[in-house]
Amino acid sequence: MSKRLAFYFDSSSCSGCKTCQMACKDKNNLAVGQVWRRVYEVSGGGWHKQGNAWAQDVFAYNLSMSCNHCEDPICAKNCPTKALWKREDGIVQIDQNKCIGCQYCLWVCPYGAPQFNPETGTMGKCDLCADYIDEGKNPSCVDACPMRALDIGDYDELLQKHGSSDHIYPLPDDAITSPSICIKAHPKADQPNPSVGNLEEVKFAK
Amino acid sequence: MRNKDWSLVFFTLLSQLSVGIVLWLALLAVFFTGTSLSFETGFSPINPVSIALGLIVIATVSSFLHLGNPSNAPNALNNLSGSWLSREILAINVYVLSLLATMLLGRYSANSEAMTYMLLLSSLAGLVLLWMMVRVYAIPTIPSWNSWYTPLSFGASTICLGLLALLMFQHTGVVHVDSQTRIGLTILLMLILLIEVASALFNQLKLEKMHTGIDGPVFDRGAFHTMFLLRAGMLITAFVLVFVFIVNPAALPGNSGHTWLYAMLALIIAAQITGRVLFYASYFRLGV
Ligand code: SF4
Ligand code: SF4
Ligand code: SF4
Repeated sequence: MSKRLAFYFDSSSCSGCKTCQMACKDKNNLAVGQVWRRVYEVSGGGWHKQGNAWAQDVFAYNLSMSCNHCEDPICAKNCPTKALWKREDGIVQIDQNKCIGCQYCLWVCPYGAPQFNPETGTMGKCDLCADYIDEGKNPSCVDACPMRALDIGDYDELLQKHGSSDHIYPLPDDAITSPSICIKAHPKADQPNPSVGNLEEVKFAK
Repeated sequence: MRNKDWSLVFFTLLSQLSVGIVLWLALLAVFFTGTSLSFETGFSPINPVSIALGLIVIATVSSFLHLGNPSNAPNALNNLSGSWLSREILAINVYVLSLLATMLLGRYSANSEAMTYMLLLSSLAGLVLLWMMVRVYAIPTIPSWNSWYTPLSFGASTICLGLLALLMFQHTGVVHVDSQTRIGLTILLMLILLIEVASALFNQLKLEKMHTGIDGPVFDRGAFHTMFLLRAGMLITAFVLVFVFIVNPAALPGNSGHTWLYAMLALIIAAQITGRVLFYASYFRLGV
């Protein structure tokens, strides 16, 4: 079994259709307001006058993000109850029988992964579809993606296969938690002044 | 700030008031010989030690309102090796036990030396609790909390609220301090108010430059900015009132000492609450 299960995300082929988001909600029966996988719509650029003409450098790309089952999970380190714990294969899970719903993990996680469930009074987040993994199947979001932009595998093998992992905007410095995700950057991900266009869809998780 | 954070506003302020009271009692008992702690023997509900105990109990109950699933609360001590929140909860228990012991000692023994030692022990437990509380907010992904301002503002609240309680105890005759000590304490209160205004200003300037990966600057406008200005106004007005109180109380209109004393108290308490609301509202995390 893999020692460090990780996601692979290809930002250059993601169309932003949000099927992964919906597949996750469906698989985990998530209520309104609970979005364990979110798609960030990044865009920037504009029109610039060049002599007598106008030229544009508009760009846009998407980033699909859930819990990254970090190698150094700041959530688990700070959880007072040890409800957050790491399996041998690297999956970071929440034990609902221990969680007190203090939401400290929501405060600290730089990926907005843990989300409070008002019905249970506890936290929920992506568990990498651990039940499917145990049955030898793929996570729901991975299989649902029509662009094949998502995948899972061993972190080191994914890195070997795809080269480096680019922690593109709007992700935080990967040194904070060592996230288990390998990202293939969109070619326009290095453009200046990007911004997230669908804040109202993704910001509530804060 | 989320609605649930109100319970944390009251938890932190009430526990800091409790620690402040015990800290000042211990300091008075050790360093100020002109002080008499009339509560040292016997039991009374207005005994400052029982008030400090009551406050920390109310604070703890208030913190429970923040939990989504309090029935799992015994698990909160599971991660003493890694989580400052676990350690904070342990520190609350130790502090409560030390106050309980101090109160029982006052109830059954007239030994003032033993009482002084117990007060010192309790204030040490209180300071440990205060430190744990600061560490809970030293989160690398939340730069607005992970700063010099958190220990400074928590420490200033502890000293300020403790001093206010002490002045009230003096006013009601529970604790007697000589007039020189009282003036010294009042001047210290003014100093703390000044430190609070100056540090809040520097912190605000720092906050105004912060923005998250996906969000623009949010602290230089709107309700947050208005509340910051309002609080600075409250602190400065309280400072002026305390100053006039010491230098020339007769200059106060109406010449009613009590009214102005209570007005000053209300202003400082309101400034402390507003300060803590601003603290929680200043939450912002790196990343998405
Ligand atoms: S992404 Fe957040 S919740 Fe998931 S393991 Fe990392 S720190 Fe924990
Ligand atoms: S909300 Fe639950 S999982 Fe999160 S830190 Fe608190 S106890 Fe741990
Ligand atoms: S792995 Fe499962 S739980 Fe995680 S985002 Fe995908 S569908 Fe949701």
